[in-house]
Amino acid sequence: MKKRISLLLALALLLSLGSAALAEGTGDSHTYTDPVNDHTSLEQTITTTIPDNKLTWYLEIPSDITINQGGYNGRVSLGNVKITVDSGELSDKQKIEAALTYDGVLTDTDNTDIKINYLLSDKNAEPEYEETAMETGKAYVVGTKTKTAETYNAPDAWVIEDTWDAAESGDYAGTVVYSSKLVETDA
Amino acid sequence: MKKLLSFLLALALLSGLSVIAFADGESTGGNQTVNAHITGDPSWVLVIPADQTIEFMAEETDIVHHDCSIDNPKHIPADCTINASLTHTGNFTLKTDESKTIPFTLNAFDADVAAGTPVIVSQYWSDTRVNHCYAEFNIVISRDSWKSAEQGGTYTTPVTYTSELVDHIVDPADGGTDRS
Repeated sequence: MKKRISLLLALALLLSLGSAALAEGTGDSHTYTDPVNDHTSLEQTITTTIPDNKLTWYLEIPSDITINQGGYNGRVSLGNVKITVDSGELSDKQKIEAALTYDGVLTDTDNTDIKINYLLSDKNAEPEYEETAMETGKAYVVGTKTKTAETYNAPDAWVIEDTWDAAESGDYAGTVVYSSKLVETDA
Repeated sequence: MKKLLSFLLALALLSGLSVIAFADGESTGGNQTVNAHITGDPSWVLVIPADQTIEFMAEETDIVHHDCSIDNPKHIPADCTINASLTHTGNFTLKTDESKTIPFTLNAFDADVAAGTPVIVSQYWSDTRVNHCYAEFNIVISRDSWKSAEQGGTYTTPVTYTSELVDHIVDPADGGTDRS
């Protein structure tokens, strides 16, 4: 009989351990049985680590622009981004890259069903041709900062003349998305 | 003596059965009372969220995210609340040098909670028998605080949880006043 009780107790213990394991993701627990006198508190520890080289930076993006009529001749520069390191220092093997992506669509601000396409062209490419425009949905590096140098390249935004002429009158707007990241290099 | 006792018990049992036998076939009835006498002090289990790590430069981190619960409540009187609350210190402390700190604020219910001031994170209401666990208890560390922190070190801060039984229904969304 004692053996049977021991077995049952062991089983109960195992079951309770099993339920504790199910409570994954939770911390300590305490059973209060004396509400008047039991003032037990439990502690959760929050940890954070500051890296050895605490590198932080901020990215300044250009202000909004307005494209002019006239095809490539109506192009307007997006304006330069600016990368500023505000704590820590880039090593010889590090650089910060700023990139942009765009979807190439301008939407009528009064009727979101009406859209026209626009292009971004790298100044260093052959911008007159639609084929050389920057691919939509793809990240293009428009700023690089190394320990010793920084370079920025602002693309031009424009609408093909035929698209402009065919579009309904109205105000259109689109979004260019900027991001930046730290890149470790082999240099 | 034992035999006598056994005999008396058997007699009592037989007399009890005979009452039913006499009633068989007659249109008689009666009320039966079922009683339950429940004893025991109120009890419950407080489960707090697991320890957590905040990424460097993270400006807002929820430290509770629905993981604080009041489990297995027993014998809780009517119209009472079990409140689980947390308090914080307002500073992370460098493990190797307690004089080095990173200040933070705790934002809950769209307001900053001062260090040392309890804020309710989980509740059990005995009227509805529902356990509510709230979220969005955000540790907010400003960019300037991150930048000012000493480089290359691990910082920690304790968040302390406790629970209590109160004799009315409390709703923290109403500023901790009586819910009803």
